[in-house]
Amino acid sequence: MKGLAPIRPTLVAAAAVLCTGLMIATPWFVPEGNLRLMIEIFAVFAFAQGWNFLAGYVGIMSFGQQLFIGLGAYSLFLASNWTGLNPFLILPLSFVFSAAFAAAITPFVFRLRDAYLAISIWVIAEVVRLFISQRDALGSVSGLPLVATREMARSVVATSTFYYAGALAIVSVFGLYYVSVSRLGLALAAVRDNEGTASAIGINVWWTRFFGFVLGSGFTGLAGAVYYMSVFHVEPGGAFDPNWMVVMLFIVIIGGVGTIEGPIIGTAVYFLFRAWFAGTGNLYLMLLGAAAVLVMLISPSGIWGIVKSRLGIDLLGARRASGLDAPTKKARTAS
Amino acid sequence: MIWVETIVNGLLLGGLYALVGLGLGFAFGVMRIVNVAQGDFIVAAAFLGVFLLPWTPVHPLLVIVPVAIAAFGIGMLLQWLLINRVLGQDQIPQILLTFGLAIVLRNGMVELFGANTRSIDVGELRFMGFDFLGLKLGVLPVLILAIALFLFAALHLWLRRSNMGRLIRATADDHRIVQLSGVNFRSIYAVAMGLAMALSAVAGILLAMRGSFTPYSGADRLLIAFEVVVIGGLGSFWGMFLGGMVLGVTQLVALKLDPASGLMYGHIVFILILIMSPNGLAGAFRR
Repeated sequence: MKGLAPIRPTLVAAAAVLCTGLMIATPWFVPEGNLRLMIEIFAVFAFAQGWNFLAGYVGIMSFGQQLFIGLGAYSLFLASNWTGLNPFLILPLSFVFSAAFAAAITPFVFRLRDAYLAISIWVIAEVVRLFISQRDALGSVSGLPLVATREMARSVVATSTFYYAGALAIVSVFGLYYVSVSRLGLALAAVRDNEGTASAIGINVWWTRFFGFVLGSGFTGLAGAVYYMSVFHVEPGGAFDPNWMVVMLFIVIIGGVGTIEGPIIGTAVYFLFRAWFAGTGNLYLMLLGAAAVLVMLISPSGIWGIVKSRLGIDLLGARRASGLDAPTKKARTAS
Repeated sequence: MIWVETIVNGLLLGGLYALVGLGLGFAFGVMRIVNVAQGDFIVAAAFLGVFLLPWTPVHPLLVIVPVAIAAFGIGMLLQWLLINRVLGQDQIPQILLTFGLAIVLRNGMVELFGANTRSIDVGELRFMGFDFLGLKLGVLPVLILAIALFLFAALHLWLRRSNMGRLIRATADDHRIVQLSGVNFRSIYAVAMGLAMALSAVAGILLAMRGSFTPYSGADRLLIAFEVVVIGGLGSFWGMFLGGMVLGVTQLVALKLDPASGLMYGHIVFILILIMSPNGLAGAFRR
């Protein structure tokens, strides 16, 4: 693969164009029912990739990303229902709202580290869930419908949502690639691996992490809005469900934290698992948990980590050592 | 008077909440490990309590003893077989491992026991009350606060005075240096995790005696434990006790004002404290 290195950026760009073309063509060949499943797969993939970006690239582990799924969905539903605007046109609002919310909570959640930071975001997700569940204006426990899509033709809605979901998937792969090779990506990697060294070479650690967190959370919010747009209905118990976290973690861990390719494999494994064990309820969730434990014991870098180290394949060539195999991870915070 | 009673009851509940946080805080203080599965282990301990109750002699309250011993063993095994294998500079593998464990445990319990609400029956003790300076207090909550206080004090003294306590404190200070004195820090970690689990198990049993639980209660228990530790200032011993009190009082006062709020106001107070004093309440006093 070494021989490809000089022309790899061109190949990646070509692959991005090819994927976009395929995505545009898909609705002409695929029946509406399958489009719906693909929307779900792409949205869940985007959730996972958003978490992967935070954990593997920014170095922030969060157990509360369901917060942004819910916020993205609610902001879109409420804005569309209140103003009567077409939800497909105001979709970027969900990104803006989720990112703004993330920016607002950073000053205090960043005072905590590692697991405590992770759980504090979960606490905030719980507060928002309980808050919405008690407000009739926000739909209370039974949730909100998306009114505007009722009058639109079903096929138009399905196709438009599919394009948005497809765009999310493409950005999840190629957007992440371009971010990780950009100056921001370099700064993020430096901060993730060693904060002391990063600040010594002139990187503003706090703002870099802030920017990474806001970007990743905003993206998760956008994906949440697309997901719930395809369901037409959002309720607090589902949108802020901690099981979203289970799914994201499973996909990213199985595939490989801090890689672009890993979560693609993880998403495939997840949906296969779900198809095979559908109807077994808790057994299926237990399997997800057990698989995550096993991967951590056997190969913390996931399936893609094994593929890469055994076969030497590195498709995108954008991977810098993730937090999991960097020999000098940030020194323990002393107190 | 009803408010004084609410606040006193909040303090009694707070002692128990502090105990819920103690296991998590102790494990973090010694090993810098956060066991995300702690909440679900707390619920598992309660199930074990329900199971052992018919065989408990003398008084149902004594079911604490076998459950705590079992939890100690399980904690040591957990550390030896799983967590010790993923230790390192990086916290992520350990946190994800325990997160996976939490999912397995929670759904395993739903599968085995169903999603029904249960509690541990302590007979007439649950309904006994007494008057104290005109306040009506329950015997069980007071007893639970006493147990919590006793465990805090016992752990504190044991860490100060005993040989094992000294080893644990030395390991907490620097787990690499203690190896120079011939101490295997992994064994010390196993003992510490066993203790953390035993303490959590006691908290789980007491919670199940005071109130009720379902296999899904683990998440709420974990959040309470985590909030107690953070409000207390990450590893401060008596700070945790204060943290528990703050949460207990907040929750009972909030439930009086807004019966449907659940844990929401506890969470909000936690966030407010985090905004005002990043090092928790103990940090605010130390400054």
